Amino acid sequence: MSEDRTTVLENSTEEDEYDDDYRGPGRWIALAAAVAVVLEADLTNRTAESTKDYVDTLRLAEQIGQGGDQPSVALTRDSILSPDLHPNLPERMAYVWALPGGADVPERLSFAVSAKTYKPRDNLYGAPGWFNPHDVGTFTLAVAGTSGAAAP
Amino acid sequence: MRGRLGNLAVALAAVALCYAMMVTKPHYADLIAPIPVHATMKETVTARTFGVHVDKVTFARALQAEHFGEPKLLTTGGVWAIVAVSLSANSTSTTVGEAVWRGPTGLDYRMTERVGFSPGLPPHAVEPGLPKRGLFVFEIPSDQIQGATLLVAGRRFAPLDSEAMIAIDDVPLDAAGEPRDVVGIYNVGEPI
Repeated sequence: MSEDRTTVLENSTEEDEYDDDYRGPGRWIALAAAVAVVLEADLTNRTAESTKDYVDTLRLAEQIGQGGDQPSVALTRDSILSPDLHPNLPERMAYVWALPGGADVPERLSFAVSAKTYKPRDNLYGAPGWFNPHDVGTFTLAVAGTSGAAAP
Repeated sequence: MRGRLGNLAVALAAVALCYAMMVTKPHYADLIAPIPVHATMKETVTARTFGVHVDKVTFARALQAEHFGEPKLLTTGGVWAIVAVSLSANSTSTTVGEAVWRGPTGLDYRMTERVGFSPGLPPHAVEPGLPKRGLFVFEIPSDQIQGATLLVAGRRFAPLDSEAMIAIDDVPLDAAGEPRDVVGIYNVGEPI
């Protein structure tokens, strides 16, 4: 998994025009937020079946003001929300955390990476699956678009 | 004393028997798993509620689809596999809504959700006596074509229901296992 860039999209609430890629009529994502933190990541499904587990894989390590709990995850190819990620077919996904207006986004953000363990038989049904999510690490990235962000 | 030893022996024998059964008997998930109905591409599979026959498998680099009336070109990092099937219902109205492309090594590619809903795409509602044609669309790497199996079922989780397993054995491939014909853009909205 390699992370590429983090962006803060700001939209004045008075503006009616949607210029950026993640908003606007006819798109799959319409955000009701004034600020959104967007993390783009290249993801590869290393399991044996199509899954949406990547939705819980990355999260903000600390909350920014209120909100920012659950990201919307969009396929960057066509902005569809959380499609299945198929085995050995890498895709670039955009994690979008919607934040209320006036949220103070720090210049550097930490993200926690969560993993799951494969069990050939779970304790309840004896069925195979991925269980017990646990954090395996964090990474910190500079946020583009914040006031103090240095040029890339 | 003797009775106590006897009890202990019975208890140990019961433990040993239970352990042996736990190790050797099928587990719950295996017992309630879908019942496979194997076939080749030339045969028509009769599952419990529906019949399915693979008419054609087409490979494409991109898909032309429609989203809320707007045309949309769907690209992929692999290749699109479009499976045209003939479906029939056995005795009651039924739905055939789930398909998986299983690669030669057992990797499961669920049918794509990126195309959205339109006539001819799953879930397929089928009435008895009214056979119809439909598509299942998959996004797969091209090394998953040779030796693949198509799994078709009524629902995603269907314990003890039958599941068609059709060997994809009649697809023209070159020496490297890549498909010989790959369409540039496949229009999903066209009549099948």
